Amino acid sequence: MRAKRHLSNRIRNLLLLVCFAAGGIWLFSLIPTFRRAVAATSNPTDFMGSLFYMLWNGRTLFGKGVKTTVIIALVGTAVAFVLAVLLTFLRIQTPGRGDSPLVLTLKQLGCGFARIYVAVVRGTPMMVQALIFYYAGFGLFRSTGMSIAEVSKIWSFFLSGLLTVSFNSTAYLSEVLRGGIESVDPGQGEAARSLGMSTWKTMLLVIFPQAVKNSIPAIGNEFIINIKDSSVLSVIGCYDLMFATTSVAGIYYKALPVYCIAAVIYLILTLFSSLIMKLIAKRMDAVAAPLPSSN
Amino acid sequence: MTKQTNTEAILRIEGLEKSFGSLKVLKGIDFEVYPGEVVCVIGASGSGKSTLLRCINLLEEPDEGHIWFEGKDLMDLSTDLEELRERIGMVFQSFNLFNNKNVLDNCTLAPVSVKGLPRQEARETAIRHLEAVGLSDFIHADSRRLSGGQKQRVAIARALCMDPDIMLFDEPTSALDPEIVGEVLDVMKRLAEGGMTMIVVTHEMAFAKEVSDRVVFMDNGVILEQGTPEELFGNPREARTREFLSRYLED
Ligand SMILES: Nc1ncnc2c1ncn2[C@@H]1O[C@H](COP(=O)(O)OP(=O)(O)OP(=O)(O)O)[C@@H](O)[C@H]1O
Ligand SMILES: [Mg+2]
Repeated sequence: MRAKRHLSNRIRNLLLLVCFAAGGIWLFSLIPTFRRAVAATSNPTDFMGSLFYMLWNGRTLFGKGVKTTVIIALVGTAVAFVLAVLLTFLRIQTPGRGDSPLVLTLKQLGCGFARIYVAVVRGTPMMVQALIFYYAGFGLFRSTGMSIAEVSKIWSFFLSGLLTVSFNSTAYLSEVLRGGIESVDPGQGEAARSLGMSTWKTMLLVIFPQAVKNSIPAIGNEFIINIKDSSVLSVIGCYDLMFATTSVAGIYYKALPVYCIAAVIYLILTLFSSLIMKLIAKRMDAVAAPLPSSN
Repeated sequence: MTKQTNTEAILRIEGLEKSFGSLKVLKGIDFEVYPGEVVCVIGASGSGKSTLLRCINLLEEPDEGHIWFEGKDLMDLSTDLEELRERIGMVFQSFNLFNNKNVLDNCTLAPVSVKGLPRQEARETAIRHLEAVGLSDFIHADSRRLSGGQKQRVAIARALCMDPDIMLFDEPTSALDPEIVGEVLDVMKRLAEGGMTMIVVTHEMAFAKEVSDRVVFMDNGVILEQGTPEELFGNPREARTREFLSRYLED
């Protein structure tokens, strides 16, 4: 069994090496094409030539798009995490001993809100959320008497896109955190309470740190999903990688090579992120999860 | 039952009832424990021993009855439950150590966060208790990596760090391999000798015989019979008790 695994590992490594070598040689052979494309004054007709031409000439647009996409995914996931913590605390409230009717009602309201929020966000496409959110925000600012120009300055495509991702991820992450909390053996909570710790202290010092740790792989997955799914924000004009790609395609009247560029950039971003996530998970001693499917 | 003559009961339970749904698990328990007493609770599986123990510190909320601990009724909604729990130590069958903390931090978490003890003082107390249970080499160990017997000794030390007036044990050795049951029982024996008030739910009849001042036999949600180990093991009054004990003596 061991020997077999050993052999299959070696075969895999060998295959990987061959693939890398072949890829390297192929990339190397493309250098002249790249040079030609960079020097060209009009879009070359061959596929790779055209691809390099548009990549080179659209580099500032792509750069801006990548930057926006990464910022939205990073900040969006971080904001979502904070909001998800709050939402999860609302969600897991249970009737306590000696709660007054007011407290009980508030707890029920909070729990109900959290459930509805999660159901609505998970049950609608993010593209629709982005559009509703953008126009609703726009209308709201307009109703205060601001001019369109003023509103656009505050309620930018970027900001509404960022908030869309944040609010969307909040729902998913709160489910992740709830799962993480439930995965902590309830016996530990009982032990804490038997020592005189309040429900709050038990949650804060014993359960929650373990829940977050258990959730690290899933939080990483959510970040990677956000890199990909933020592409729908281009519908509201948020200048992410997808928007940049469509712009470049429009400028040079050629679609396929540009979208291939976008695919490769997205792939690099997600692979790189999942590598970092794995390292973080390993450092934190949490179990890494496989690459996620989309929301 | 010599100890009860001249002192107040530290714990007095009256008319305790508890149901899970339609299943009535405790059907009116009356029960007292005096300072320094070691009471072993025995009985068949499902007879309600754990439920009784968990009701004592209200991990399980009883439906009816009173639980007076040091003069305060835990069933009274105005009683500060957390303050009473500080003085009621509990040791679980499944250890329930905090997995995100090492051995020392398991022991200092509650003293620091609940009692507000200075960290250094909490540490010193913890180290003293860990040494007493024979774990001086494991003070900074990852609590998840310990053996069952070591985990249970940490759990005992952790409870002792709160300086409790009574210790509740729910089958503390049932999850352990037979060869390491002894190391935990030894710790408990020493604790008993040191004068700790203890309620021990156990299937270890030899331990009950040797260490306890009183043995309580629970059957089907009631305390059927209680007495000194000599009385209960040597000359049980109830047929049900005899039947239960005979099954143990066969093994
Ligand atoms: N949280 C719960 N919900 C529903 N039923 C429960 C719960 N806890 C205990 N019970 C039931 O109550 C009865 C008594 O359980 P308890 O754990 O007190 O028995 P026990 O005497 O400790 O048994 P054992 O020796 O197996 O530990 C059992 O029938 C059990 O299934
Ligand atoms: Mg039990």
